[in-house]
Amino acid sequence: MTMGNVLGMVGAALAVFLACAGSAIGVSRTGQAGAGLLSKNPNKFVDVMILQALPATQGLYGFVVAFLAVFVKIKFGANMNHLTYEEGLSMLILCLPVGIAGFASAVLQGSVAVSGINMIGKQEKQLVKAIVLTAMVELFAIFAFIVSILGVLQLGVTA
Amino acid sequence: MSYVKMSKIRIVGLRAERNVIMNVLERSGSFEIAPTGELGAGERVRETSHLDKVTVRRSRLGFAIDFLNRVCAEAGRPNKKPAGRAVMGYDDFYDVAAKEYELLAAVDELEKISFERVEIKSQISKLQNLNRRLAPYKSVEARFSDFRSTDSAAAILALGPSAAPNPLSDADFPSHAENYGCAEGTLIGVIVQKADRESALERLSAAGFAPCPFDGDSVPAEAIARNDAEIARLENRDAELLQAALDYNRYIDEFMTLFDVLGLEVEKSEAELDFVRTNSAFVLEGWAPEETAGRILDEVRSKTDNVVTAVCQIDKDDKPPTLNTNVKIVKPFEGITNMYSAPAYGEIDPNPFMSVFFFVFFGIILGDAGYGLVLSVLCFLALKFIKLEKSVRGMIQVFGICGVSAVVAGAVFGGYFGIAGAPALWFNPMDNPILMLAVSLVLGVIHLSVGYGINMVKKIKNGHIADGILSVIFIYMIFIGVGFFALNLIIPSAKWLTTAALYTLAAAMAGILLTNGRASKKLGGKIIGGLSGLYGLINLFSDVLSYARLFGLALSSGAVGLAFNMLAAMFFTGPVGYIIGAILLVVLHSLNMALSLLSAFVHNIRLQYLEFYGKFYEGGGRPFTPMGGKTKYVRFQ
Repeated sequence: MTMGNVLGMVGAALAVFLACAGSAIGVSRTGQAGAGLLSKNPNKFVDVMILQALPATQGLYGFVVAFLAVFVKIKFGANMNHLTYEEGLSMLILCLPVGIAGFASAVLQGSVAVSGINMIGKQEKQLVKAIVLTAMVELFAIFAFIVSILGVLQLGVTA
Repeated sequence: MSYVKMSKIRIVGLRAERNVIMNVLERSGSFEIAPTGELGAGERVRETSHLDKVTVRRSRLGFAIDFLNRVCAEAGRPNKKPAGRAVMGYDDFYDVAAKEYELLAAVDELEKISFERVEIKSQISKLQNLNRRLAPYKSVEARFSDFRSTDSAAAILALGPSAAPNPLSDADFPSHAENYGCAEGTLIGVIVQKADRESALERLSAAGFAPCPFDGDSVPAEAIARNDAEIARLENRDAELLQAALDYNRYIDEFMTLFDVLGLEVEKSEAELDFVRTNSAFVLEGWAPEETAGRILDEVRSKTDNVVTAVCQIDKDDKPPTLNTNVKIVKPFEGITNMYSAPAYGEIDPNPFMSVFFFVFFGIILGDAGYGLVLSVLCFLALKFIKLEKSVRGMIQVFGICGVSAVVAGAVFGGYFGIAGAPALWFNPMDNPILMLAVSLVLGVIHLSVGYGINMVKKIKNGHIADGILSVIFIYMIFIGVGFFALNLIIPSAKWLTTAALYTLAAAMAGILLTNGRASKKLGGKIIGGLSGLYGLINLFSDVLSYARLFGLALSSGAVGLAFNMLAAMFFTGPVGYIIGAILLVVLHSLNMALSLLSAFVHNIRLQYLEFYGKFYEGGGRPFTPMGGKTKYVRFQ
């Protein structure tokens, strides 16, 4: 295995680790707030579930980038590609946007989703507004994801 | 495709005939009552005694329905939850209303039963508590009252911790102790001289023993048996009452109908609070679609002669309700707009436009023919076999229709359950991500252009022709200019494209700078308006960029599907491996489909609400809600 492969996999690990950690924080916070609301109003389960699922997508973006990096680009396994030092470092750097922005966006989206849950607890039929407010935060993770995935997919690697 | 014109109706009638008139209006199914405007004569009387009475009766029925559902569930044969409202004709409806006296008597009985059962429950739990406390003493064969003081001696029964030694064995006064068998602790009976009673009690309590709190004239085992018998009697009575309550379950359908009958009565009485009235007459106003208004008024006049009806002029201050007619396939999408805000009366109905883009974007984000097919089939089955409430039904219809879009998108972009290397009619986004990004942004430009276009049409319709054209034309020029640049990337040799692009963009910017301040009268205001218009182009840029999410989400759902397939394929060796792999595939793809569906809905409505509706839509309308529509259990034919 080359140093480039190691660097590339460090990048993939960072992408999936940071993004998934962020999603875990966001989803768990939302879940706690949701359970509080459900204890008073069990009928809101579907609404709460939708809001809780929103911060989960960043983890998915990180997973996709890491997966493509490790299994499509490096082709991890017996006959893997041999990335040069520069290629590996590029891959690492390209993985960072989805990791870092994904982490921040998931945690903060979780906070907005918690507020959204408070809102639907107090007001009837405000789910859509809560969703739209929460979805706003996601755009930045999507931008980061696009940069990461375009970069990783387009990165030329030594076979 | 367009909004329905409303007529404002005014009816003056006798108060004695209020019910006759109101029933006609209610049955028409297309009359919405509105507070009567200020009139010269008459007054608004907030007389709520009738309303209060009806409300009480209605809530008693609500209790009875709830109670019956609870007892049926308790008896192990729960009432089927009505999946949507029962369909019913008006005649059947009022047959039930005529039985109100009988039904309310049944409600009375149910209330008594409920009350008695609560009482029985509390008695049983009291007795059970008592028995729990009596249980440790059951091996004592003497009566509680036998443990008392005589002239010279005192007998004490005390309960202490398990395996505790006799605390009086080393006392400095004579005592006799007897150990009774007791599973819950150590139960001892002691006899001491009366003079030593206090010190004995002290020693006992120091060792953790508590004197028996009971002093009845019965042997403990007898007392327990007596209580058990009483509990059994009460439980019997409770079972009887449960049966009696179950017997009333035959009324439940009628209860539900009557609940709605009274609900309509509440609606009518509430409306009446807003009528202007005199001692014997009232004035009623409301809205009806223009084409049915005449028929409704004819109907009212046919019932009574003592009535004056009129179709009034719509004032500036009036807020008519909105009723839009859309083709059948667009109809379900109205729900999406109404979640944001219903169109204002007379506003261009955005649904025909929105639904097309919603459909396309949904397909691109889900991006998988397999998921689309599964979604459509599931929605179709749900619509066919489950009775659903109207609003839920609309949403399921939207998803079912949009599943078709995902099938098309999957075929175009080669998405079939994320299988790698599946054929694509056009191209696979994983192989050519940049082109997919371009497709997303171009779709965004089209979406925005339609939004701006509707805004222009709206302004022109309102008579602001120049304003309408000027506010939109330069944006279009910018889009065209950028389009020339993009073409230049595809056809690099065409130098003239760059030139054309530059000239178009320059002209557009000059146009914005010169005209965007047109609303301001002063020169300074015009300059600032022009500059802020140029600055606003940044917003336009970010609007277009926002559609990059289509690309990101499409790619993520496709790539996750691919990843899951590779994961499951790792298990594909040997029969057990194939079974595990197959289960894994179903679970993982369900998860991916669910998350993609969420994105397809959430990000789609965001694009519609913010990017699209932000350009032209006002909303703030109030959907037309005719009388008799707000029922809970019954729906009219």
